[in-house]
Amino acid sequence: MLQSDITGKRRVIPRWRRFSSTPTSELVSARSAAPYLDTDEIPLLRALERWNSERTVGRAIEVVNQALISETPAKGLAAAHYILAEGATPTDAVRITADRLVHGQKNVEIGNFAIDVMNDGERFGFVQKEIGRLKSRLRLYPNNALEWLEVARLQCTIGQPKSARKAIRNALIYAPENRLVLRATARFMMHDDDPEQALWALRKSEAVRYDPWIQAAEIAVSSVMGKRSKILKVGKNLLQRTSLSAHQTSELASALATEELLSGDTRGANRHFKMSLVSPTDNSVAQAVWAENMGIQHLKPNPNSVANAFEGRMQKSIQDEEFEEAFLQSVYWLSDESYSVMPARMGSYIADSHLKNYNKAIEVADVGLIANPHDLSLKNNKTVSLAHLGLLDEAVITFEPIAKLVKSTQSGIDPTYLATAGLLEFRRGNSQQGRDLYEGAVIESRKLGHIAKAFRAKIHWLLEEMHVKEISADAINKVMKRMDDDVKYLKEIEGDDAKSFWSSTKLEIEKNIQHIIASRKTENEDAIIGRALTSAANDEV
Amino acid sequence: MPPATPIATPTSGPKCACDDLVGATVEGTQKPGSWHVVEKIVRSKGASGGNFSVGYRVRHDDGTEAFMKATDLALLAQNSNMPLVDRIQHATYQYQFERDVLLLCRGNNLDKIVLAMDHGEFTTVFNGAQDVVFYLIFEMADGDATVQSDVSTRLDYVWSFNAMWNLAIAVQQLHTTEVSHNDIKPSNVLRYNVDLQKLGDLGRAVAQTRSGPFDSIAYPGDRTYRPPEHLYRRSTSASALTSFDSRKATDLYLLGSVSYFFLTGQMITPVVLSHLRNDHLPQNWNGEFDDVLPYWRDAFARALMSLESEAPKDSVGKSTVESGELITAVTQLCEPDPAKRGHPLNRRGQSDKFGVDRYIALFDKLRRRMGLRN
Repeated sequence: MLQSDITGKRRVIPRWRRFSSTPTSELVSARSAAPYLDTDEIPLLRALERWNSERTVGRAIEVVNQALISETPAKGLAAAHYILAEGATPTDAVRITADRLVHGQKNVEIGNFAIDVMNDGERFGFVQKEIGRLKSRLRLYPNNALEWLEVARLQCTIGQPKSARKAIRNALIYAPENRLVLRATARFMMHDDDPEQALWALRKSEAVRYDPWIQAAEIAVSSVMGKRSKILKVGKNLLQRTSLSAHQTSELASALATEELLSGDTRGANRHFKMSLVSPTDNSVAQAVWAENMGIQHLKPNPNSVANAFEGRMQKSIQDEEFEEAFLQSVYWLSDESYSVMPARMGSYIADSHLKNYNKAIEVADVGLIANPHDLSLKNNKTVSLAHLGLLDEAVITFEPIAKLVKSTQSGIDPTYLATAGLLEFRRGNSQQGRDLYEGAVIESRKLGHIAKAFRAKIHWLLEEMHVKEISADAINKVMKRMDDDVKYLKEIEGDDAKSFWSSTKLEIEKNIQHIIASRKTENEDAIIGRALTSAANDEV
Repeated sequence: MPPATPIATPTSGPKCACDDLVGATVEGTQKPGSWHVVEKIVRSKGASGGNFSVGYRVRHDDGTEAFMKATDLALLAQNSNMPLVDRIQHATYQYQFERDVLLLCRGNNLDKIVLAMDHGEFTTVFNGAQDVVFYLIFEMADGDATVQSDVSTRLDYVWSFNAMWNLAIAVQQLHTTEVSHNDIKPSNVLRYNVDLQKLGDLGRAVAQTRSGPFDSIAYPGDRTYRPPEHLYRRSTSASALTSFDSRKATDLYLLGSVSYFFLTGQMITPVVLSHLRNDHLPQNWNGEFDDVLPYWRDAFARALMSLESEAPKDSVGKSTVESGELITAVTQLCEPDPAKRGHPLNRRGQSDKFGVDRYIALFDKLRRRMGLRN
């Protein structure tokens, strides 16, 4: 059975993406002061005068330089075009400046960057080469905190968190109060399972007192750790009094709303979530989609109108049962945050469970495993897809660390892993052991109160029974009827997804059921399929 | 005041008295004999930031050719809303200060500074009004360093490294005399022959030992080349920015920036600005200098790539040791945080934090190596 993150408690943990694709709106100051202006136009006019009297590259670049920092950059365009014209022979650095004046700032990268790289089998080598290039630049100029961040991010994408930690430390040394650095540090520490350090870095900064983006991160990290945030009041006051734009405070409002939702204050949550959606970030819009799934109504988040909102779009597409789109968005999300296990988990889950595209599921799981080589959920998902493809030997090897865990743990094991162990036993021809394991998965899920998970385990179990053809169509119909009754007990997020999975699986079973009748007749079917498979969703087994 | 002969009152063309001196003869106060104004010279200097002047080629009775920088009250009054009395006072004060600083430099034998050979002033009538023309006469240069912006005119590595060395000495000479230049830029680096470059135009200088017109202005030089601490709002007090240490830090940045220019053809500030996002540009940034520093540093690192690509390479296209040493020097000199600017070893003990000695030694070593290679 595949693992997803559909039921997880989501917090507004900061995004951490490459600098070139970080929206500029996240990189403006929270101090909101007037810019330092030099409105004197005379130097530009003088430069123009000189250039008009002597048309040379040297004269033209003086005009361009003046225009670049003036209030009327358009006055430098003719000189910039002169520099860029065919036949002119400016140096590259001169050309860079003229180009900036003519074409403006390079666009912030949005969208499907790195998809090709992700599909490239040489991804690991490519990333290592890039790290080497950045490090050699840092040897020349080590004070560049943003470049240290990029090194750390790349190291995370190839599963080198120890090295990444050193790079993060360097970034903090050179820019201890920078928002991007602090938020990336928090995200990294969460990724490396060290929330204490994340909280320490955020709380020791000066910025946590006045910067809503840092405050949002502090509230989110505190929440994950089960601690009370130290700046809840400060954050609430800032929301009431600030002159900052709604976009600047969106994640703070979202983080506060999440705390209110988790503590049962749905009115407060509703108010703050709505505030967060006035001008949302991709993170706050994903949080609102999650909140909607958690029962907060009338939010109507629209991830399609927010740049880089891949996670939110993926969740929305799952809600709408548009699984091709959901998968695509999961891949974009994975490209955006390649170190993160969640997009890989979701992508492999959607590809296998809903699209039956097992090769794509394996590909996505493999990308996730580069960054997170010991992640059991990804190994589990890959095992399932390998088994579905009939690559049993590889599936068994992939599943090995989980199998050891299953064998050594008496209780409290993730039911998903029991189900996958069951799948492997079925596929190896050990049907009875497979049934025992699936039954264990159903029972454990119910013990934990995960009715939807128990239901999903039953779907997978039934599919395996179909596969081995050891029970009759009557028995299958009996189970299907039982499961149709069960569907009504499924609630909320994972319930909806399981319902959708059931309706597509049911169609598949109905198509193949005639084939079952023709091929096999077995006695004592109730004993074979066990009580668990035929029990109601909330029965004690 | 020595008389000038003859100056015809123009009917059209000239905008002010000092704009029409061709054919005139002026007397110097330092060198016996007369200077004859031969032709007007269009140069990029002298017209930035409102310090207006007109350049001429002049010839002395003894045949010495020189450059004359002339200005007058009418020209200085252009684009100014100051009352006439204030304008006259300001103009004479500025002229006096530059003249005195030049004399100070001459007295200290600053051989890498373009020194005034002569100076003077005379009264004249222009458009029916009496005016005063002031002039300073300098050694005649072959040209300036702006030729480096164009691939078709730029000079080679040997020249570039030599220029860096000469310029570093010039900065040291000024700082030792307790003068900061504040306006080091390509058009103020004058070429005399293949291996001699001098730093000119002390019109924006500030001296520790005497008061001058720019004492209270943190950065009086060309705004497009400013170091970042003068481009963004700062919580630091104004006096901190006008301290002599702060001014030396500015000169160091400009020394690094011009060194960058010798190879790339562009000063470093405009290249860094080109790599910044719009919201981080000085005219748009809503925070303080400290907040923008990490973004400036990132753009600065990108600007260094231009230097790396222009710096000397070995036979297989790899950067040479000299290139690495030069880039390191430029990163230290143009370090955006003025408190960390300069050679790291100078931040220890009693050293002059903004000392130039180590760069003089480095550039000397690099120019010799480059010379040997060629």
